Amino acid sequence: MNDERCPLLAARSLVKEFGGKRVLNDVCFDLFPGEIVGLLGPNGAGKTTTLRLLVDLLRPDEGTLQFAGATADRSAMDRIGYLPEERGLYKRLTVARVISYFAALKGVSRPVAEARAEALLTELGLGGHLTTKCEALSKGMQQKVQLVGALIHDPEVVLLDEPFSGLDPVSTQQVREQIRQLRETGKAVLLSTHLMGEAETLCDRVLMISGGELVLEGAVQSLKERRADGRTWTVECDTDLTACPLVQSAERTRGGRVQVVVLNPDVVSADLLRWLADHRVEVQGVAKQIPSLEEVFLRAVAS
Amino acid sequence: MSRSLVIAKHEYLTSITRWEFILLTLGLPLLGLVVAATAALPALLMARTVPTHLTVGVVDETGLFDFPKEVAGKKLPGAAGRLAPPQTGYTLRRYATRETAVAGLRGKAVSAYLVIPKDYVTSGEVLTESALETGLFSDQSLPPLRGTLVRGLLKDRAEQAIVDRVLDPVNIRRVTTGPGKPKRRGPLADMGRFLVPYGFTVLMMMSIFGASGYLLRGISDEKEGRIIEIVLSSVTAQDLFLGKLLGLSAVGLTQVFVWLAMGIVPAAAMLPFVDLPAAAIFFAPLFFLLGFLLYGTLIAGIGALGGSWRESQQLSGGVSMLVILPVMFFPVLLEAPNGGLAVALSLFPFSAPIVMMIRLSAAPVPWRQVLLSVALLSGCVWVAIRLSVRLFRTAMLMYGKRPSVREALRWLRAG
Repeated sequence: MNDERCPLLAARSLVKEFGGKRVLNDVCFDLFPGEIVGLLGPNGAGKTTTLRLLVDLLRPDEGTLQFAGATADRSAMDRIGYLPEERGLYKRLTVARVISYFAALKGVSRPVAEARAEALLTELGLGGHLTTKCEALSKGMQQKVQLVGALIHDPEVVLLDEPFSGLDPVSTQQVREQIRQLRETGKAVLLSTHLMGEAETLCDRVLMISGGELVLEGAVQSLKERRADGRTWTVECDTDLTACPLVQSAERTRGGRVQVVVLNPDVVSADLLRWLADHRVEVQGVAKQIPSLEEVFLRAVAS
Repeated sequence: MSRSLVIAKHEYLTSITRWEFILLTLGLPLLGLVVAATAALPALLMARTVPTHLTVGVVDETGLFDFPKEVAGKKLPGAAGRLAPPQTGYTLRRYATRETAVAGLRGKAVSAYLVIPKDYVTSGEVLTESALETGLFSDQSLPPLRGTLVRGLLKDRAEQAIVDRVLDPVNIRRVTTGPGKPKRRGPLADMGRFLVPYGFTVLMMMSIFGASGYLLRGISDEKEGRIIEIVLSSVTAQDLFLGKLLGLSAVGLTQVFVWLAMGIVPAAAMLPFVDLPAAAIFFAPLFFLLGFLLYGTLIAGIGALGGSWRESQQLSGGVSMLVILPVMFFPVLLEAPNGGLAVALSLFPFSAPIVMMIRLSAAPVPWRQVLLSVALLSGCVWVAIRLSVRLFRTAMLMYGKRPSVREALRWLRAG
């Protein structure tokens, strides 16, 4: 939030209630050009509601949305690409007709849409499918066509709700590459996903929502380091370390590593290495353990 | 192109390429032709089986009647003559007694005989006997009988003019009064009073039911197919709703145009005989469009509340009943087209399109009432669109769940 750059999309104090129940409370965040931001949270946390507010499917009860520094009006929606979690296609129509229709709804002419669709479909491994009826495509192929529909108007901001669900590994890789390419071309991507591994691999920053509130926000690596407890270390050795007076507990893990929890977070690797050297323990490496994004997520949700 | 027009074009092209649309649009007039042909079949068969000439015996025991010797059969002119059977021609042979007439029948000198008994004047009874292959006949199937009896009974008792009036007592020639010159009406003129509103109602009902079916199918497909969220992230609910309505109105009008084009030949054949009310013809497109928009809007708005196509159809069934309701008042409205009930129903927006067409076809209607009806109907369409958009906007994002009445009312109030 302290970034000096002008955000492409800025959400300020968003509040949404359904039937008197507050499902989103004071949510603020920015999306900058050329970054992928993960929107994480347990089921019912308010992720889909947040995305629906961003594309004007729902109106916030309080708060504002800004697009490129100005209050987001309906015309801003033409600069946003949206792939909802609940998505489908007109099954009886051809891929070309469906994509042309989605493009026309965003004000893109048919020739431009067809040329761009052909290029995007090829990148996603669906070249030559423009004249195929949607009902003849597999679920994964349909999902990629939906992604093309969301990107057909070359949007500056892309909102993706669970883009990997139901995709095989090859398709997942193609979609992942497409998302990375969006970042490289300066787009802002907001990625809502349950797949922590994907978020960790792809995202520059994450927003964690729980109970309708933004509980954690930051760069992935920074969040993980901040959430490290400072007492857990990984030592690559074959020796039992329970005898070490600095260690509270030691547990052998897979790959010949020992995970140790030291008594005091002030114990630095130098202290530990000194004791290991004094006791002639053969060590391949020592590192302070940083939690995975999933662990950070679980801790944030639990707290 | 505005977003509503993009949606309208999409809806139009998607609907007219549905096989249901093609089947209904082209199949219905063909079905009408089949029904008409089936109805004409008995007449065609009769034309082939009815004898063209018969010899009939006559026994007049009263001595009052003077039967002609020959009665020529007649044939109706034009197309009707090709369909209707020709009247049978007769040779009448007099017999002095019943016995000789019976002998004539047995000897096949005559196909039938009839006896005017002595007490005919008091009893009115006439006895007939015919061969089986001749079939039965009555005074209708034996045209000279009635005329001969009447003339015989009134002979020397009344002038020829009185006799003619007894045989043909009523010859109505209608003249209507109202704005403009008094107008003479031909014998088939009244058909226009009935045909125009009836045709209008049938066309309107058919196109509303047809097009609203596609509308509901389209809404359910987008809702069940989870496409709606993508569409609504690009356009406003109002744009989407208006686009759908516009597209489906074009579908309805296309259907009507095809039906009218297919019915143009039979309609043109009737034109010389039917007195078509100009005001009704002039206002028909306007009332059709407004009626279509009103019912289409309500069907789309209410139908969007359904969790599935079937549910949407059930919910919008009430609107369909509104379309049919004025049909029940047809006879009353035709009898008193400027009566209190007719005026009230022609101003009430939900019955106005059909009832005003009935009134305009049946009698001159004051311009103020026509304009007031158009204004009220237009206002109602506007309100219906506003309210339907509110329902539509929220209901379209509810998947597989039907909102309660309380929820729907809350959305309507929320705006």
